[in-house]
Amino acid sequence: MAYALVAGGSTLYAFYPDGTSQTLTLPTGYTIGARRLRGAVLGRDIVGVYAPSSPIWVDANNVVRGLVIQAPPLKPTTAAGAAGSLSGTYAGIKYSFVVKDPETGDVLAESELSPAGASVTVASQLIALSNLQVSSNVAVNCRRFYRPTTGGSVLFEWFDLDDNTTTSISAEGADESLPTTPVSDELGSPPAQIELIVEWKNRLWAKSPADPDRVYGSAEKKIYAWPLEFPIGPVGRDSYGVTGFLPRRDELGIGRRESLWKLTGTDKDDFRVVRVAEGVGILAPDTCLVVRDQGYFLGVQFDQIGMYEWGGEGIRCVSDEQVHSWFNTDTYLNRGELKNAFAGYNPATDSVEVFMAAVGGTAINRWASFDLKKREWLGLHRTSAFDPTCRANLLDSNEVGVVVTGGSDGKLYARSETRTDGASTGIALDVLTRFHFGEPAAPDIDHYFGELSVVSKKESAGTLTVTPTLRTQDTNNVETDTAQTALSHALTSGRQRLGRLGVGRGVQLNFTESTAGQDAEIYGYEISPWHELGRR
Amino acid sequence: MPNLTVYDWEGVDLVTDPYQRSKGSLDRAQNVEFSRVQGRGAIRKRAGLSALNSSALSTPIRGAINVPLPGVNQRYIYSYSSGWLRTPVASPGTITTDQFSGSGAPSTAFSPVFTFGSYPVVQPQVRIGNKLFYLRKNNVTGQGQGVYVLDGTTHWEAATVPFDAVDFHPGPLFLHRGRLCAGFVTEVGGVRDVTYVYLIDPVTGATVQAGGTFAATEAPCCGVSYLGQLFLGTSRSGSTGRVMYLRDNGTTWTQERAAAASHAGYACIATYKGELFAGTFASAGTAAIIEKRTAAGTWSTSLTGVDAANGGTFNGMIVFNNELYAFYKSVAPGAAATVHKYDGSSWTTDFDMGAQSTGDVRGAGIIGADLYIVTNQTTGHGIWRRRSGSWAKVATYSAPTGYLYGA
Repeated sequence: MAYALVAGGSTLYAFYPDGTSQTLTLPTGYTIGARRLRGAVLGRDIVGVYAPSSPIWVDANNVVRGLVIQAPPLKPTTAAGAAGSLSGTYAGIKYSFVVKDPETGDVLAESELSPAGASVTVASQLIALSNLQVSSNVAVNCRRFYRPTTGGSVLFEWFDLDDNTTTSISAEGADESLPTTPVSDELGSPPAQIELIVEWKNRLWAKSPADPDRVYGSAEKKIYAWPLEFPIGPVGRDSYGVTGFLPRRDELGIGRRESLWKLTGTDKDDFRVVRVAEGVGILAPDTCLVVRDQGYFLGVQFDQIGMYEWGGEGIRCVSDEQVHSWFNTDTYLNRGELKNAFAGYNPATDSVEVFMAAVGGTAINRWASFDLKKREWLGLHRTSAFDPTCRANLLDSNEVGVVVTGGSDGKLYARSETRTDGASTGIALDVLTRFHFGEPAAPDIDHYFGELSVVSKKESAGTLTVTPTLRTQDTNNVETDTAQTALSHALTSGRQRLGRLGVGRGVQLNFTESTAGQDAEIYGYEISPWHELGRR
Repeated sequence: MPNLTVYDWEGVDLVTDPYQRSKGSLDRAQNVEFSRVQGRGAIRKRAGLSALNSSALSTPIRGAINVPLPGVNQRYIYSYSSGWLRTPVASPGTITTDQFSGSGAPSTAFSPVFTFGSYPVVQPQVRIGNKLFYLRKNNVTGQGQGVYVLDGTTHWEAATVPFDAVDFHPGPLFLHRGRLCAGFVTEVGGVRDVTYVYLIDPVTGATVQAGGTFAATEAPCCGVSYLGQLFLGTSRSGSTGRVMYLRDNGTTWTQERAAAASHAGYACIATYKGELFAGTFASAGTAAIIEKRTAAGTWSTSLTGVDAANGGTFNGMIVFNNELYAFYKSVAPGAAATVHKYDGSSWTTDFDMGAQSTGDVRGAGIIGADLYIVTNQTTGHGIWRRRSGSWAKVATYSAPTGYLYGA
């Protein structure tokens, strides 16, 4: 069954949807730090970055290795060796560090090539190679040697030395025994530090804090070979550089704080970077996601923050028209922490869910949901069971999607129809309607609001509390909102008349229910009758 | 009398003028979702969040990466004399019989690839991706001998080598520059006769003979790819074993080394840390040894078996967790097998089956992060697993041949 790579505390796990997990052993010297785990899957390899002290990759056997294999720093020393069968002049001998699967012998990773060895002439001799370097990456278990044919310059695979300790060796092999395929021109080390990574077009793309204004790209289907790099926007414009990736079908969106770019093309010969928009960019890298080829991200346009959608029709802010104040006032959220927000797609509600910190704190404990079909926002949601820390969409043992939320308590939570968080924590439903000032709205005059009836789905038990608030204005024109006596709607009834609401300029209803395990589905409500009483 | 009705719920709207907003808009919608199951249009308390793990991981959870791939170690498979057996990792003591679909379902007994003193060498096998390649003797005249492949669900003949004999023995099988190298020896009147070595494309099955045949009565027992060349360990009737090598595209097998007297053959060969190791079978009065060849071509004795009086064999080697493991079996009646480990500087005895009764190792393989061996023991043949430095028997079954495979 599918599984997830999970970082918890300072430990790396393989986590299975049935709740079991396996602690993975990190390479010597590698640690999991306090940053978020980010990663990408390419083929059967998983690359994890940012939380690990250096980038790691996890193979199909859950063996964890360091991703970065620096090339041998020194050229091999070449000389004519003992008697053998090789004759010719060979210039440019190089070698690489290789990680082989110990079970199958397959090459899992390979570094760039060393500097070229000096020319050597042999006459029925072996070629003696010395001063061979040892890789500091403990996963390396092989050095692969390349040489040309006599007098040639194109390198071909020569032989493998299956260890990371030997410093000298002699070898031969006739020119015609060499493979006909020259050495790959795509070998290249990944960045030593990676902050953001994504898979797109069967390649990995990454941003390194060492050079934040560039995007680095791997070879196709190879996590270890990184021959590509592209500058994104003006170098040195800010300290953030690239702030997020949006892997749409035919375009890789690449965001900075103040602009959005895209990479187009299919292979290294036609990739090119194009500017999409100036003035709007990605604020929170972990909010970037793509749903049905539409990119979503928490972005910033000058000083205005909002949730943006990028698709075939361009970029538009989908939060400004409804919940602008969530992201741009200090009433609801800690705006200083919005850059650390994260997001995920919830297929059950067809919503993009953005997780953020409430005002006054730094822990992420609120989230908002944007319904992609209705184009409406709901929230701000909360739970008392744990603080959310990450989101992932997994597959369970039946290969059905499971939306998982990571918690500050070391648990991963999946959607459950029980209407309970955790083992027994109630979910606090809290819906506050708009003020009704009659229909059409006439806020300048008093109204009589008659009997309220609530229509809901019949439940087997439970009570929905409805608290009306009346807005009145006294003779001094002071407006006051006064909560009235709470009404109780029996969820077992389906429809219930709850009493008269009273007189005022307007009336607002607050529906609440927080019992663990209690469902509540509200179809609607009616106030009947209502009258205009006149201006007072 | 006018009614005010609200059944068209909308989302939160904190922007529009409060007097212009639509009836169904909300000031707050905490912990609700739009109902999509039975009451489309209604709002409903959001779904709960249930913990998948009852035992907490280390805190806090810092991130999760979805891996849409099957997990590892779902099962491992080994074979016995008349079929494949499967035992799941989760409950390794449970054994079921699988008759895999596809041609070549093993109704024919597997022949041990080579025996020394009745004890076979560890069954050679090659893993390429998620497939296991192995040799099978076809006991029917007119049908070529086969390289078979198992993918965990079906197995089929990957290649038929182009010679036909009823009496023959399949020998070594190993990978060389992406192609399988397989050795066979015919038998005439119970005596080893002609050796054939083939290079086989595992995808297309294209087969070419590698070099010429060996001298009569010499048989290939083991092989490895080393320094870009093919190396085979052999045994010779009435003589000692040899290590032979063939250059790529070469036509003639050349002797690299001849074993000392009373070492009838090289039963196993492996490369480790740039050096070549070859283990012998020794007759009574001589201890079996593992010899080592440095990259420069110098041979020396690396390990000596404990039983010189009765002789014995090092019948298999495997590199696991960056160390070389060798399996030893004394020929003495009742002797138990031992597993030895080399870390690049010294050998230690890693496991002594003496306490477990007599037996020998028939197969070895790495599955996930563990080393497994198939054993033939008087108290119950089994599978042993080395995990975190400790050996444990994880399954018992009826009769071994010794292939190991995990999927």
